Amino acid sequence: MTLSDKPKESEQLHNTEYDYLIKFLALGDSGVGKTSFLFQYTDGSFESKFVTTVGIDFREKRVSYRPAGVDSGRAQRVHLQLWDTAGQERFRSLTTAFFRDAMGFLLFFDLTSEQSFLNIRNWLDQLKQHSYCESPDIILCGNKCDLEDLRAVSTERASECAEAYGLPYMETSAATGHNVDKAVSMLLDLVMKRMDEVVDKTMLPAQFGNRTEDGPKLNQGNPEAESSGCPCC
Amino acid sequence: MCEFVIMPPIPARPTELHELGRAFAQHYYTKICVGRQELDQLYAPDSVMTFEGLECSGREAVMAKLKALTFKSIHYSITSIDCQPTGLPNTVFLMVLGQLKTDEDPPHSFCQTFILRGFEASFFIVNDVFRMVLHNA
Repeated sequence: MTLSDKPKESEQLHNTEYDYLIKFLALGDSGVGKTSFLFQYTDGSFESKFVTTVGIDFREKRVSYRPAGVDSGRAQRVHLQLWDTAGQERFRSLTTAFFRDAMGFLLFFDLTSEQSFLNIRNWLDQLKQHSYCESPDIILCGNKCDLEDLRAVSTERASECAEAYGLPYMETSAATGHNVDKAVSMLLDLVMKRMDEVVDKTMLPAQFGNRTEDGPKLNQGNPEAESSGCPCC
Repeated sequence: MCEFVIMPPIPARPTELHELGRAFAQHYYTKICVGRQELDQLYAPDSVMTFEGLECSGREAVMAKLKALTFKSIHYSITSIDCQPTGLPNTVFLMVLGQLKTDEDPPHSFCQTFILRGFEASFFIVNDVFRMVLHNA
């Protein structure tokens, strides 16, 4: 059984009523709070699903998405899968299965740990090597912002770093919930906009260079089923 | 008995090799749990450890790798210990299959093989290969 079969199978059995299945990854050093963050985001849900063969955990949440500036029409029903590393990163580099089909990335460091901040660069390298394209959508999250007394990385320094890498930056707290929803929403917004752009191009009339016959199409509701390398197109 | 290490049941008629393998595993995994730094007594200057594909030659390199692991706590549940003679004097071959659990993470399966050599009253590790049982799909 392949990893991607598992969630899909359960979806087909129980939860087919959604428009998009979106998969995000949480990355960053051990102990920066990835699991706590996802726990907080999924409203304290203990129902993480651990896939033993690949040593990866994931959680799920339903959200509705309405693109900014669009008042009419119903909101899109999005089924979010949030993947977590489950501790294997302590022993080894991550299995490539972890990166497969991911559409967006939450890259974490711990605001109270200088080293976790310095390691952002390594994570970005690894991410770019394994992800579906050269410039995937990533939100940089400085977690544990509730521990102000222990802070080792200033907001200014983190913002400068984020700007240098061209990433949006947010300070979050998995403990208090500060910016937790906001960070995921921002990432979802970026990923949905990217998908819309791909769709828009294919929807252009033929005289504008559209090739509907062989052009990419969005497979609504089940983007993982696409055979191309990029899960967005 | 160390509460961090759960050992498999003792077979009805354990051989000397079984007992040796079991005693070694009990000692090794207990040390990893409670005092990784003391494992240096088990490795020799020419021991080789391959940890998740990374080769560490010599006691110093081995210990540097083991000490650099980032977990705060680790628990082991050993499923099986298989032991064979090698034909070389005082040298045995050992394979351990089990699960480990670090901090709050879910348990992961692992497989670890050793070649041990007896020296005076004790054994040291000549070769050590560690892999978590994880796949790419």
